[in-house]
Amino acid sequence: MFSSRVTRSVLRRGSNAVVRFCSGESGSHGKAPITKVPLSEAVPWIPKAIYASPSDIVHETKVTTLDNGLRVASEPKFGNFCTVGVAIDSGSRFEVALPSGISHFLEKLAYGVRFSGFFFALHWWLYPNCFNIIDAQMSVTFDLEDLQLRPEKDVLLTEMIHAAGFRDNTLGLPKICPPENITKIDRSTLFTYLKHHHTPKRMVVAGVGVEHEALVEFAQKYFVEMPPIWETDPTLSNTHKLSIDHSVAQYTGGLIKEEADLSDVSIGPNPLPELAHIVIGLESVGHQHKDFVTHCVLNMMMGGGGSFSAGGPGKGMYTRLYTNVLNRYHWIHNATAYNHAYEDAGLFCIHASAHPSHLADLTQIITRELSAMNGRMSKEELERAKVQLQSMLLMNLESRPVVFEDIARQVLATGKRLQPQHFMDLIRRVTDDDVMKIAGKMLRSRPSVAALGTLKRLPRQSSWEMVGLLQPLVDDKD
Amino acid sequence: MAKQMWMSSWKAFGCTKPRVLHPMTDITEVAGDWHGSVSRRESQALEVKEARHNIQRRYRALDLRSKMCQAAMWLATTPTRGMATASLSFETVLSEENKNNLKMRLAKTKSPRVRDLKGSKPRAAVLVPLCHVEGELSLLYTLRCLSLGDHAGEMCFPGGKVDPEDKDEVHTALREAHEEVGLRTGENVEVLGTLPPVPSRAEGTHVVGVLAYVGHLDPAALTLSPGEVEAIIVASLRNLCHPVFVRQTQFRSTKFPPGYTLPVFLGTEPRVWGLTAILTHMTLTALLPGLYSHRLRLIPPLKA
Repeated sequence: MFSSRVTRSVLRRGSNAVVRFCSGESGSHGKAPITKVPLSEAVPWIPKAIYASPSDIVHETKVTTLDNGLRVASEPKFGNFCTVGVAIDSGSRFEVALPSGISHFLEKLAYGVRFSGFFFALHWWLYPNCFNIIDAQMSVTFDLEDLQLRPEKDVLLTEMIHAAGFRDNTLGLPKICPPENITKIDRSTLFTYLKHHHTPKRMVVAGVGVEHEALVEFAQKYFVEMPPIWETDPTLSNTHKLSIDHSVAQYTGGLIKEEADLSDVSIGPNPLPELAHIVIGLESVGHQHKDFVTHCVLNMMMGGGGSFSAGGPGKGMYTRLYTNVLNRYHWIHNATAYNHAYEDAGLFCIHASAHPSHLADLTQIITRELSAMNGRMSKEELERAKVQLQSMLLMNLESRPVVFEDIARQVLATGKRLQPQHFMDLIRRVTDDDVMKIAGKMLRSRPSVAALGTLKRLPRQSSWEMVGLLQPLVDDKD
Repeated sequence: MAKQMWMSSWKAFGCTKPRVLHPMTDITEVAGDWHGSVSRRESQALEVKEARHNIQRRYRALDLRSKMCQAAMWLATTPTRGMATASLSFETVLSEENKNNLKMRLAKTKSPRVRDLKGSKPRAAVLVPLCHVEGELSLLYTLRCLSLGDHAGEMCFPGGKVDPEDKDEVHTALREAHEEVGLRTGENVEVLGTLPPVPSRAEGTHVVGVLAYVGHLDPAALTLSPGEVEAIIVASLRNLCHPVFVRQTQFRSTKFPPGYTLPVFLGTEPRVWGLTAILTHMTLTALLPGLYSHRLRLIPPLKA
């Protein structure tokens, strides 16, 4: 960093000027031109650079609880920008006694929302005073149509695998509004839901790059002193008292099939290949469990992606699903491992797709990979997965919105935020025995399967034990 | 010495040595509280306690007639541990008084109102074995083998299908328990009562639980039937009753509208859920009034 006034004025004149200054042309300062200064000597007239050093101050996230139970959390961050928002413990998992799809409606109604996840939703909290329920219903209908038309089926498949893994409870309840509920959800249902679930105790106002006291002051002014409209106007919501569902998520396992003709999914002139999709899931752990980090390392080790992803070597191409699956069988279009973790339960799954005629082989290959998670792994593989996870963690936390989401989720779940260094230590301490132990435990659970497309070649339930899973998948009688 | 023994047996997950869990010292390990933060379950348990204290406080400042009601309310809401005479403690569970009360309470226990079970004969009977393991009164569970088709890998009570030659369900339960875990049936087994039938997953069948006290047991000395029972897991009553571990899950159902609520016990690894949890819940409700006070709540669907 050049700090002298002269060089700053030079810089203002443009980069050419800088080059001319440094090269000592036109006898600036009466010095010899730079080409005459030997390389073994420092250039005398260029000022010394002052380098930035990492700050020794550790920034802790400050959390304050206001009178009505609302929590305000913030962390300072260098820069001219800040990210502020609200996280609410709300979502489709609480809709067991309500018509499913309320969260989908709320996502469409609130401004500038980014929908993320089953157990909480991020909102900008300014709700308009008059809802237009007809517009909301139209918007949800369009969203459903769009999901059917899109060639990427990952949203539908995520919905299906959760419904298969957590049959009929909490996390298995539909996140996307079922078509028959669009007309059933009206203004008073929405306000009733909001009144019971969007309470201060279930909310966190989080900010990154802001002063804590200022944020607390604003939160006090807008969240405590201004009551929400369902408190001031009791006619808005249903008079029946609704209890909040405190159910703990129960993993059940099971199979959900959807026959669909995916031969013509392309929305443009170029045809896309016809694919059948299958997702095989096992029971994982929640993010508060002591083995959560080990599951994340395992997920990194399995990795995977699309067969056409333009990443090249170094972009996770050494993960198992690439080296053992995608690189060997050209007809598999994608094989990706996911680890969905919630507060009290989790789902580890592998999504794979191929032409419908290969469905039987595809199933066998994926279940073989799942069974192999329990086996020996090379030290290099494990170290690579750990380092990849650590670097992904730190790289993501360089962006403010991600830090905001991290603070909001942690404070909502536990009341405080653990710094990234804590997780770096935990990742470093994962051993191959740990990974084998949790893989063994996962393989003991009843598998959950979601299949979409032309499913004539899907192996029948009774023959699943032949494909290598520890537990056969038996037809649900429920 | 004993503490080190059961702590080491707890840590060695996956081995067939049976485990006894003592919640008073083991909670942080089992409840996953390892980050050191107060989890929501604990804060909920504290909320329940607070609510109870608030009820008691509210009734304090009233007139004399109300003071009599207040005394009754106090007795009804105070946790019974630490109170002097008429309340139950884990040591007096097997007293004559409690056993007589148990018979009365079992008669009043209702089956889950999921299907009409009148007239259909029970197809299966299980033994709910109450035993003393290392001095703690506990329930004995079996971990089903993975090769079994139904409920593989889940926690279960020893039991099985009713044979035509069996005299009654009690006979079936004891016979199956002997076959599966080598439980000696004889004078040392005291049948305390029969639970009302509970519908099982398969259509038209239901399961009857037989509650029996089988004395002091050493789980390591029991012989397990290979191919049926993978391990024996012993959970102390203290663990099962602990408010942090007792939860419930509400399910939607198209077959049994508007759905149903099942209890779940998170104190064991793996957790006790499903049919076994219903039987455990019914047992604890009848056996431990005051110590176990969890009630299953079903949130009714919102009326338009």
